[in-house]
Amino acid sequence: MRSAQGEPRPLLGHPVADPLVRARKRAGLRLPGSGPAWYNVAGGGGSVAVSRETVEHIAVLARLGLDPAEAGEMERQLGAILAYVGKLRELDTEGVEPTFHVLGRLLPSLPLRPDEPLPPLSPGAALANAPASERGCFLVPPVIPEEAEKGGGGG
Amino acid sequence: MTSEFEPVIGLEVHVELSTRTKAFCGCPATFGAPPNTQVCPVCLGLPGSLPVLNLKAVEYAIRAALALGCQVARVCKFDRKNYFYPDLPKSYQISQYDLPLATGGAVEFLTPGGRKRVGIRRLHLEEDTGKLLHEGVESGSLVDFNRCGVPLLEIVSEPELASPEDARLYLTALRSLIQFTGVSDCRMERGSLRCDANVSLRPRGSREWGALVEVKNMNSFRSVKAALEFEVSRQARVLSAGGRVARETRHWDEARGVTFPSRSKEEAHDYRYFPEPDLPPLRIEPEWVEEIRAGLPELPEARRRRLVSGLGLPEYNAWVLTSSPALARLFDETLRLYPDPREVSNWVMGDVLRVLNARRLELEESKLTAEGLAGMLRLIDRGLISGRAAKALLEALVVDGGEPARLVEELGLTQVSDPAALAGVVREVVAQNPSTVADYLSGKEKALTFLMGQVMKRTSGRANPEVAARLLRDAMAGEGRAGSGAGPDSGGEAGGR
Repeated sequence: MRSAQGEPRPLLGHPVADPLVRARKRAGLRLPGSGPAWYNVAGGGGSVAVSRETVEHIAVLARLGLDPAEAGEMERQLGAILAYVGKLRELDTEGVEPTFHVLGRLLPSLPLRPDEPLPPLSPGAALANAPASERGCFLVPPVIPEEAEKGGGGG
Repeated sequence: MTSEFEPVIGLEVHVELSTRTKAFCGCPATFGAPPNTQVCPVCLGLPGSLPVLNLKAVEYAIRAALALGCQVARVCKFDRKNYFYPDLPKSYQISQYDLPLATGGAVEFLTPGGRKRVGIRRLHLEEDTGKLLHEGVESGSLVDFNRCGVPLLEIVSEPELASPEDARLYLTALRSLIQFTGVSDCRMERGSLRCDANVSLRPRGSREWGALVEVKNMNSFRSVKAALEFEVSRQARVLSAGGRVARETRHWDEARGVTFPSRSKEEAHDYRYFPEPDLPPLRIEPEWVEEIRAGLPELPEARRRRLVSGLGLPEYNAWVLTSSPALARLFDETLRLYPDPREVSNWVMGDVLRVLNARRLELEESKLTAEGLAGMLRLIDRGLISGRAAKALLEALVVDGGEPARLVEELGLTQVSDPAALAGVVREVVAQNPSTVADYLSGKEKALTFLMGQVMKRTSGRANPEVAARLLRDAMAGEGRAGSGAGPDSGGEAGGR
């Protein structure tokens, strides 16, 4: 792995658990487990339940239309997945560096790219797969700008 | 109106970094290219493409963080912020959630009550979105992805701003700091500086927090202040009437001067952040940070110290003269050519800024140079132009630029100092304003100012004020002798400017 400056950058060899925890605290951020309500699933160990309400909320966020049968199925499947992953909760992870990335061991730091332009797509190619386009732009269903919504009369 | 309540304001500022290429791909990031000519599979979110972070974007972010006195994290990571909107082709924005690039830090600004210091909570890197165009399209909205993927710095202040004016001053100081580091041009009208605000009110002296309202769509420094002033009084009205302020996002309507609730629902705030699987954590070596720190240019605070203790300028002047690098440079360079700090400072802070504001120009967009300004000051010193003509000359230097002496010729601004050339005008003015002349003769020295104005008007500001004043006094003294004979002494030194 090479940095953009040509020389391989020495990778840090120090344990990073502490800086991470400190950085999180400095940033005043919630630690895992205290995220938005729907992340919090009931139960620990092997039994994890996902409520119907949670499933429906996620479906709305993901723009998925689920009928009641499908929502029930999702409830069951998501519960099973979380129960499987939930096994990790049985471990004591105190002082263990969180795994932010599965390649963390192989790729201890993010490779960076020099700030040098590469040729972009030709305008034709960029729009080639667009279902609709106009004046060099992608044409999408109308989006009402916020300003226009109540701005009536302003012309 | 707000005496019962005190506002608590925090600003969230987005700054576009002036890198040559985008944050995660090699597309050029230049402003103003034809739509969708600076896009590639990565920034269009096409399947199979992978982001690679721009080293310069990280370097710029660190540079800005250091200028703000932030602590740069040794490890930070990128996260996906998920939402659906046509300006976001991937349906997520690469941002930083729980491990931002930098935290801490502060921005100082000068208020009439003295210096204030507002904390910076965090600073992180993310990518910009595309642009939606609505004008003149019947069938839908148009999307231009040229800006999509351009590196953005998000700078979040602590909720420590106590008034809309403080918010404006904070924003001015922050912009100046960022501009001095050279990582962004921070031009609000181009969208390279954007600002959202969180506003809440609480009973004065209370430590409780009121309901937080997010205000968006403020597109200029003026509108930031105006929008916040509106929002503070709106919330105060609601609370005074015993109501509750709803926690919501509101948009500023510049034309109507009001904020109105956003259409988007609560769910829009559930972004389901999760770690960006395409980017491993970024580890930042302390040596790199120190290298960047060593390369920081002189920042506004150091420059202000130099202006105050080195040149003896008042602190307020020093703040104005460091409000942008361009203004600071103009001052420095003019001073080198015309070494009178007070005089240069007065012109730069006064007429230069007035002309720029009146014409809604940034200094960089104007034609004004240090040579031009210094040349103008020398023409004043040599008595070749009057102060009034200098103002007209300055307009020309800002708008058209050019060599001051030649502009003076071209614009006919040369000062007329020959008494013979002014005698006619003076006679006319005295003859046509008998009552003012009488006032003067009865001891009202102020009447002379009016008559001087008349002479200036008739000579398009070209009359040498000292010569004109002497001629006026002489002429009126003559009138006085011809009339009652009780004219005041006309022998003294000529009137002022």
